[in-house]
Amino acid sequence: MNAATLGPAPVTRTSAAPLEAVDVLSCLSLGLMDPAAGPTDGTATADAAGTDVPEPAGASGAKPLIAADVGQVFTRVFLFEDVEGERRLVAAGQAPTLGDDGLPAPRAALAQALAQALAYAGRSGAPADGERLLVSSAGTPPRLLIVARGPDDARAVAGALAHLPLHLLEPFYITGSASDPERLLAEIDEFAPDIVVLAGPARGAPGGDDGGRTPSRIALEAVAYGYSGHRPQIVLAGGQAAGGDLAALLATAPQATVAEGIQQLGRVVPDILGRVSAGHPQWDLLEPGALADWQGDGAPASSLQGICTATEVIADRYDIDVLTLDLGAGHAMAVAVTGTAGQRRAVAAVRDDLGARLGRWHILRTAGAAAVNRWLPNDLDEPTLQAACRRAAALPAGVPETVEELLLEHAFARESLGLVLHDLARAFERGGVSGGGWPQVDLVIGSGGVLAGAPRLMQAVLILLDAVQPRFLTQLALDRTAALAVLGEVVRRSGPGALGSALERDGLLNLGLCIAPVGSGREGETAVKVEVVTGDRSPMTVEVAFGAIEVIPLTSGERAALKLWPGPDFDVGLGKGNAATPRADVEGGAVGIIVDARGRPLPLPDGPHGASKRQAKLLQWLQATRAYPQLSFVQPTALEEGGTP
Amino acid sequence: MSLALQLERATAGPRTLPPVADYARRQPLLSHGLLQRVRRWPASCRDGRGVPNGPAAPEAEVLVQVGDHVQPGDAVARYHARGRATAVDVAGELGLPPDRAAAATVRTAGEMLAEGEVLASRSRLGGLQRSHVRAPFAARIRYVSPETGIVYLEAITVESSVPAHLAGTVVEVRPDGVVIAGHGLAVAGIAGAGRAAAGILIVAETPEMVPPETSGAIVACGFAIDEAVVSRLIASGAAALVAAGVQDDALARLGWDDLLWPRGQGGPARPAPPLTLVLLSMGEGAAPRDVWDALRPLAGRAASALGAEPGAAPELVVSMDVPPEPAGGAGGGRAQRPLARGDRVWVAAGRAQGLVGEIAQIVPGPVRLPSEVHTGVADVIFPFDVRMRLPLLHLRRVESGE
Repeated sequence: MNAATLGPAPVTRTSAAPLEAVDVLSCLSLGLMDPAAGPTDGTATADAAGTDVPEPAGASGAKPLIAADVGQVFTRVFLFEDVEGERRLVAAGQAPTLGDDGLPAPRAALAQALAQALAYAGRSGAPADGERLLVSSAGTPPRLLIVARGPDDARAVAGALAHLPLHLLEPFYITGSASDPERLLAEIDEFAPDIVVLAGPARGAPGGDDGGRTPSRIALEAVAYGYSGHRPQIVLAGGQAAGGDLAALLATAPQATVAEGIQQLGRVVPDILGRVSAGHPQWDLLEPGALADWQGDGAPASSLQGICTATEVIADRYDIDVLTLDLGAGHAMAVAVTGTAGQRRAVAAVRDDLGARLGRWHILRTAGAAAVNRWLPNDLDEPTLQAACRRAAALPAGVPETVEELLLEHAFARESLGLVLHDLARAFERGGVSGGGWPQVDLVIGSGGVLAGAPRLMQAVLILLDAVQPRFLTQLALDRTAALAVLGEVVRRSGPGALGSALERDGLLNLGLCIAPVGSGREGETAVKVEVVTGDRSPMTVEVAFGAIEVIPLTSGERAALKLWPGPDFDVGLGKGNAATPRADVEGGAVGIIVDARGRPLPLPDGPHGASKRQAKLLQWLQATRAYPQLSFVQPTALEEGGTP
Repeated sequence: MSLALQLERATAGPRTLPPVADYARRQPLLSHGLLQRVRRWPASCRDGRGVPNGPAAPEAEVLVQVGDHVQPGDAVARYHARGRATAVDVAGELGLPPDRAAAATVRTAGEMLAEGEVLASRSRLGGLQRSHVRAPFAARIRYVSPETGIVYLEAITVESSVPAHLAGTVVEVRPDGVVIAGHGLAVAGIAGAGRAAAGILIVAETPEMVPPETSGAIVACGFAIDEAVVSRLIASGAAALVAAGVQDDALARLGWDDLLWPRGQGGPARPAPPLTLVLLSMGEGAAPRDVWDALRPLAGRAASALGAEPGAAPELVVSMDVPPEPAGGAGGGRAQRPLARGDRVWVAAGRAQGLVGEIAQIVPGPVRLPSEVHTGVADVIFPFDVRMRLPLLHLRRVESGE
């Protein structure tokens, strides 16, 4: 440990922002400083502290708003009302989207969820003058196939679309024999894209002109004439590429759109997403006519887009880097918004085959039984895991009754998020970000049914930590009310002022700050020493050993000054062995301060005797954090009365 | 205090929230009485969209009108589903520049060709040598590209029909399908594959009771099936298989997971099974005795099994002889009553999966399960006075008259 850093660390308390507006997220963007650097006057550090944020504009006098999110398994209704001059979320209700016969019954689900929300708010009926808003993930995310002459073109297209919630399929390259239209049509048959983006060099460009027979022209014809009836939407990136009678062809191909250049794709494709959503067979089954009260004539907005927007708003408002992980029953999404103001960039990765319930089978096939077992205190054989996948798909609205079932659900959740984060890393790499992976972020938000519905918040924390494995200091938050999508959609439609601070205050639950020292050492060796100084208690110092995870209590509403002394081989953000202190006081969270010294990447023993070591380690972590009822995973599953009123 | 925090604190103290969730509608395991079923045709036959410059996709032809009586398997509509076209590289095969291939094509878009018929030809050496491109199959020309020299051929479609799934009366004709009402018994499945198939019902409560001759029949097996039974039924030409359960390892060996669980909601279509399959439960749990008590006397009647179709749930429907009565609306016959005290229920998932019991009480408010998940629950009494508290989400009413 660096002795020079052990002096009294100054605590910078910034007061530039009103607490009302930032009580959930006030400790974001924890700029670190060397304690030896001397005290500051607060104003000098306000920029880095993240608390000097603009006060969100209120929405005084706003009409009541009833917003609904029709998911693949659950439908949720949220009631917003004017509270002290601000539009706030006052109640939420929930009902399964699917009937017991497995068919969507959204009308009944919306009515039931609305009745619940109104009952919770103590209202006798829906406000007559209220606005309504509907988002859905039932028909999303759309699948998009990039057809390009080579990786450079494909990368450029993927980069232009990186911020959209799309399931990006592996690109198809139309070079050599692959320019045979039959191969492209077979690819479309296999992966069923909703949108095909054709990218090619301009006519006359080197290698781009072969009379009229350019690869992009062949591909365009194949998609336009290969299918009748339902077929993918076509976007031609670089409209001049196809040449010839392109105009005539496009005029008679209603599903084709031209983007003059790749950069224009970011504006063209979002319009197409609405068309795809409206024509999606899954949405078609949701009795769209019966939902006219909610969404008018069109299709509902995408809940994934809402989450992306909400993530962008939070990143903008606090000038921080944010990663949101959304895990639904039928989809998984990771969206990262990084960079500084004016150069902020959103990158999303979405998969419709990695859902916590409907995607279990694919998760097991992709990740393998060993990967799922990494997160279980007892290994399960492959047939048992397969049976669990089948049961989840057959009854997606089912709930885990036992701790074993809950552990299994959370194991699949970790793997699902791990796979979608892998896609996110690839999306960043396509965009030219080196270093392999997504950038370090200030805030990780968990969203979706599995995370929001975790019985203990520590379970959601561990799922996020295990999937993301954040380094140094990272704030964790949870979309506990599952309202993030509708909040984002309200902002997308009406601007950030439409919600005031409801996005943070009502949408997010601050879980706490995670301190994750990076480095390696011997098990038991001190990885980091943390001092917590609050105004009304004597300072508390906690030493956390390498390989351990501990929680320091600091409840919501409490504030504390932190000092961190990493071990000589560990780094908390200022280099190995260098002590650090956040520039701002830390706000407590629903869980507290989590010190994750388990190591990065998370070491999970394997090999011949690895299983027992891994299981022992996992048990140690679960017990130290009290994430699950103690030892209940070894309870027999005898037929016994369960449940506690 | 934020709502999120408020909810969080509410979980720790006394709970006053209404139940978090119950099914919006509940489909009982057995429904009998007047049933309604919607028979839909593919969406591609509804919008009339064709290829650019080409003919519109043919719409479905409705073969019935309101008031008509139909039997299971009777066609209520027919359509020509147009599949994917095949690309033929005429320019490449004839060795012509792409822009000259269209002139070498002897037929035009929209024309029909028999298999082997000349599609395009080229003469060389002053006509002494001719080369041809012939149609690889009986097809209609969808498009001849003047730019690329590629011709798109569409296979001549086989007419498909939409069969009735229930004996009864047509009560409504809609743009997307027809609604049929009739008396019958419906057994709801938990998963399935394959389109509706009609036939005579055979009930086999043990493997030994499966007859050697099942051609065109709907075979309801009151036991967990394995590969041997499946192979026998496929070999003997059974139209559909309704199974009380299926052994997990058999499911894996049969490769049916790909049939039953799609790869993503928007993903490719599932492969077609060799016969229509309806599973009443997962694993080896047997469906309740009530199912077989109800089905046994109905053996030999006309029935229809539906595995997976858009907008339809997996089920077996056995039509009854009671004269059908017209029914209003097009609800599809789905029960809407929530679970109540006294209901006999079958447990679809969890630690009591496969058991049948009676609801002693619907517990007010969400309850914490051993997993600590809060949800609506019921106290259920099973044989030998075993009493369990189970999530409403896992319970299915056994029987309902409609």
